[in-house]
Amino acid sequence: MRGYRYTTDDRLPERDLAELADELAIQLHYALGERVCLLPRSDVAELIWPYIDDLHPDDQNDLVWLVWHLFQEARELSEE
Amino acid sequence: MSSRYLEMVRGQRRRGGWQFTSKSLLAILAFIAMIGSAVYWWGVQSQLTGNWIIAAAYTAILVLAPPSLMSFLIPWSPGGMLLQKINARTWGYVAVMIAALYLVYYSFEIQWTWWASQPVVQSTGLVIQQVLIGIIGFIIIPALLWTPVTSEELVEQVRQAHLVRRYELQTQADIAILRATLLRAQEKALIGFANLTVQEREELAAVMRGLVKGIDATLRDIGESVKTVSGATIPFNSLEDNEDIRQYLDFVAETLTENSLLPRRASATGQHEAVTRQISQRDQEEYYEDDRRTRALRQR
Repeated sequence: MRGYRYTTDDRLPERDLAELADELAIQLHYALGERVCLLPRSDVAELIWPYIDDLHPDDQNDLVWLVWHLFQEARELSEE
Repeated sequence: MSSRYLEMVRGQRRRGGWQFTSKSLLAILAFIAMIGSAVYWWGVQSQLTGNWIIAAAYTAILVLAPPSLMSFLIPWSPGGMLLQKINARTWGYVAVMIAALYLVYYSFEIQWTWWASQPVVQSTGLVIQQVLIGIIGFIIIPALLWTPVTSEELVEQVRQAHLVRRYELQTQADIAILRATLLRAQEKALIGFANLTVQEREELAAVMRGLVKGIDATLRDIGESVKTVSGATIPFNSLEDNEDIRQYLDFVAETLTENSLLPRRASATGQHEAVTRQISQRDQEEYYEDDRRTRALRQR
């Protein structure tokens, strides 16, 4: 089971997961610019894979979704 | 709690420049409506009194007070809703509500009389429609734009909505973990903790209490972050004060440490369990013997 700070298994807690997703999104944005907002989820997965390959498979999957969602929100913000 | 990445994108966007939106149009409309409101109310108030200072003061009150008070009653952002929900329990909010409603009623009555005295409006029966347009233009539109929170907080409204939702979800998850942990501990206490030493049992009881304090700290942190972003204080109820949680903790602590309350603590020295049992029985016999003596002395 997963909480904000604690987990009962070897997965990352919610806070760490969100912070890691943030950090990865920032790094990708710096590296690739505004284009990151147009990336499909499979490309995001490929780009962040080297940084998350030691995590739990479920966490890896969650992180891909989180980073991709951040890019989508950023795109919505820039389109407003 | 908020996303640093989205904050960075927002920051870049804010530096980008100004865009004309429907809200900007509404702001221009509100500005024009308020100038019209000032002209209208000056016309009415200057007829009611010859003292122009009093008339000007009343005009200012009727132009500015209704929209500003109404803005507390009609929030249109998640942050504003949250603020309203929290402020609703204060006396100040009741005062704002009464004053706003009276000013709207006053505005309605005066406008009704004014429009009813206009021959064309009177003959066509459009008095109520004209009055409602006046109420919307003079009060509602400016009130929608004058939110009680600052413009910086208005920009953050989406973040606040996420934050509040997240606060609720994370709290539920943390409490679920806590409950599961405590129930598991309860189960183990009934089955297998007999093999633990006294120190280990006491340590385990302390861990249980520490866990509750940890969850309390988490909730307080989340509440603080909500306060930082929205300026709204979320009431925090300590888990340690919760009757159910306290009962769980007391039960666990009692189950784990009740034997350690006996004198000598033979099990703590690592001696054989049979020896422990013998000493415990002897201690109990001595205890009951002492108790009988005490009662006999009291009766005398």
